[in-house]
Amino acid sequence: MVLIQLVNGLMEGMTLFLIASGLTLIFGVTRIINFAHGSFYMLGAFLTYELVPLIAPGTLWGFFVAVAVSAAAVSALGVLFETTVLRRIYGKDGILQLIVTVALVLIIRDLVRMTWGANSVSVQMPDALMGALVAGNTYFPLFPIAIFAAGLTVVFAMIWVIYFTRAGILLRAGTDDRGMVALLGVNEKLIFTAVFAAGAFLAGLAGGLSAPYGEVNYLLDTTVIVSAFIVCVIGGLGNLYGALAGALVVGVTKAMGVMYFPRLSMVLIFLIMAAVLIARSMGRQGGPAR
Amino acid sequence: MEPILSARHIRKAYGAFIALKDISFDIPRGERHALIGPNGAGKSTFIACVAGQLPGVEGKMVFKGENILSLPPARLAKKGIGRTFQISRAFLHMTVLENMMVAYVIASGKWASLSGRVYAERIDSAHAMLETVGLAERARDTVADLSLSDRKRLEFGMALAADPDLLLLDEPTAGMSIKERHFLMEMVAERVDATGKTLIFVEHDIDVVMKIAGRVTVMVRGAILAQGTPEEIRANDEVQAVYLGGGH
Amino acid sequence: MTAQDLRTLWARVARATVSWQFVVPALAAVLAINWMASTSTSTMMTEIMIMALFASSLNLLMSFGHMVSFGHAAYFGLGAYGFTLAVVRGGVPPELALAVGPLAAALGGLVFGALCVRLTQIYFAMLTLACAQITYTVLFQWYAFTGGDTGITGFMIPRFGLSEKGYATAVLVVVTLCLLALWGIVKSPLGLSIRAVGQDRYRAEALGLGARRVQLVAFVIAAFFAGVAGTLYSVLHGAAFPDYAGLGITLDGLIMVVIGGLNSFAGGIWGAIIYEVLATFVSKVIHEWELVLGLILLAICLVAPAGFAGVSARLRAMLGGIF
Repeated sequence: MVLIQLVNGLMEGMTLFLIASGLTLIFGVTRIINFAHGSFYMLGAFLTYELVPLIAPGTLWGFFVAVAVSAAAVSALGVLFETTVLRRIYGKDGILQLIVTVALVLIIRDLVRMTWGANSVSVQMPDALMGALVAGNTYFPLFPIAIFAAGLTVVFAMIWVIYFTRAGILLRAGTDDRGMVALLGVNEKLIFTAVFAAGAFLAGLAGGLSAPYGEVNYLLDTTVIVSAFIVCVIGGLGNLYGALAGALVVGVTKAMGVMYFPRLSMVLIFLIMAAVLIARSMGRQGGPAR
Repeated sequence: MEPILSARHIRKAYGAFIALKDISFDIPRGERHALIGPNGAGKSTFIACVAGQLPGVEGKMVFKGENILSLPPARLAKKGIGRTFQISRAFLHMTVLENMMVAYVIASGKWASLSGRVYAERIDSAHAMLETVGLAERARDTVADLSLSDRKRLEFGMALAADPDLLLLDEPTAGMSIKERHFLMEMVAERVDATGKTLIFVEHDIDVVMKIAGRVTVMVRGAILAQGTPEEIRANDEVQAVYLGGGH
Repeated sequence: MTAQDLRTLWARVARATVSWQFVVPALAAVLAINWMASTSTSTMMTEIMIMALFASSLNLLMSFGHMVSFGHAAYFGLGAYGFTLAVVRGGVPPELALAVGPLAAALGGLVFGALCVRLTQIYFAMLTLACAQITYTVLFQWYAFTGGDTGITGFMIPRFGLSEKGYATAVLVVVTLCLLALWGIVKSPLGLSIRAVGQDRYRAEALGLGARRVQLVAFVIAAFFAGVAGTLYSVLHGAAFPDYAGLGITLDGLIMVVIGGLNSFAGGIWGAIIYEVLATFVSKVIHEWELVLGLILLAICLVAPAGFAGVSARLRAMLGGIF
């Protein structure tokens, strides 16, 4: 039972990581916290719900294609938002930046409710992932393991892009010092858009991947964004490895907490976060040198 | 006389880059001390060490007989260290008068008061200080509308509000015209002497340094190259070679 | 400028002067509408006044302390539950319990605030959000104590048995007093300190101000007044629900402040009025109120970031001070 929950926790942690890493990437480069990241996740889940029956219901490849197409669609929406709205408010008051993304949350939520109604929908799981792995007398459900593996693949792909490609070098330069990118002769706007596209893609991907394993409804946006924020706070914004660690801790704690303190697993996560914060804020003091 | 500030083996590293290596020196009470040196010499880092804004500084910084290295900036300010910043940091969206009143309210320690009496007791001091730094006529203007040199003077006045024993001015004249530099620093020197304060300032204009400083420390790459009166520094061949370059 | 000039100037800047020629007619108008209109209008006005207080308490943090709290509803909820639970579980007479609500909120603000002010900017916002979600979760799930998702109802006669109109008048008095108190705080030395830390905490620290302590005080004050609003709201409906501490209320407050106008004390009040009136009438016409709201917010952020207060200030400047 513990092991099964561990597997579930790892899967949730992995999807949380996909969301939080997008949040962190976007923040690292644009200094904008995208409150609508949970909405992107939710859209990814709903689009997958629509696409799975259209493509090849029940098959493994059908599922992954549906998820990929959904994520791409969400990414396109992200690009649309970035180029039409966000671009006008870079560098403005941080409060306005937050409110703009909150506005997007409200808009997406109502559109989703208009389209798919207020009730939960469920997404068909690929047949191949329905079963369980048997080890001794424990049955590990296959689906979370597969999603964890898929997430891990994305993580490696991400690490490869960030550390071994030209795009990654530009990205890291943009995170460290925005003037630097301009010096390298690259269009800064393009990087911002690209990062937003990538972040939205990751969120959509996470939503699509985890869609069959739980309820998909219009309330997902806020629950997901709150968890993603907690992950970012634990891991430190702009820190990819921190986000990974934070996401796995939160995912596993949630899953384990459900077993032992079903009512209070959120409280447990909060306590972890508080401890991390206090530890971190004791380690540093003061501000910039000038 | 017992020094007001003595640095002992101060060392600060940013990763592999060592910004300060084993800095030790004393500043006697009442001295006007200039820190000079090329960019990256560690002058601002040293100021930040004294003002308590840097984590991970090794060594000992004794101010009025107490090691202050681990204290947060606000505590240091209360112990009598006032400072201005390299880039002016007056409160941008407040008026000149509000800025000065903030300084006086904080200096009074009654920041949490709800009573207007705190204001009434300090408005005249604020006025006097604005007169001193020559900004009384600009009292109702927002800092964002002030010239750079006016901002620097405002900041200097705010730093004086708490009547600190030690004043740290990090490049107070950066970006000013030659005339403004001398005007500001002469005013600073006069105020410092009149109130018996100690002054440490970072300055690039050698003429200003020669005129204002009682003693000078030359820093190069995180270490002290030379120390002495302005005349001694001017005569020092090593300093000439490394820093002054014979240009003056 | 002489010392006397400066004193006069400062008195004008810092005294919490209230332009009575504007406030008195406004209060009279509220009373008159309350007197003449239907009971449902009275209830709506009561809600507007309560939300105006809630938004103004949030505005103290946002406009003056530059602390964007994404979890201010926690203190609204703590106010409501503090009051309700004191009656239901503590056996405190409702009249006395009125004081418990705001105090519970202030206590919550102290505990969460002590944690939150260790962080700045976006981390602060995230942590306040997390704190509020925790509060919400506890209220939602602790069935034995808080009644869980069904909330607590039927423990008192709503409005202490006052008529809708009577309660509206009572709320008007309380909210007016609270807003005056907040205005006094903004103008006091404490308010000046809060603004100083909000604008540049490092500068304030270099002057000798402990930034965290100032922020914590501001946080507790804001929580207290949010708690007053929550208590009033709980009395209005004679109930308390977990949603009072939910993200919805937080967003309502944030949106009100933005609509009304950041960096203006009146922003919270204007925002509450505009938001509630719009919400009431728009949702009568179309079902998708959130969609409309989102579009309005987008428009404000892109076109008029200073909100209503900014627009009206610009109008006033253009009209040459007719008002």
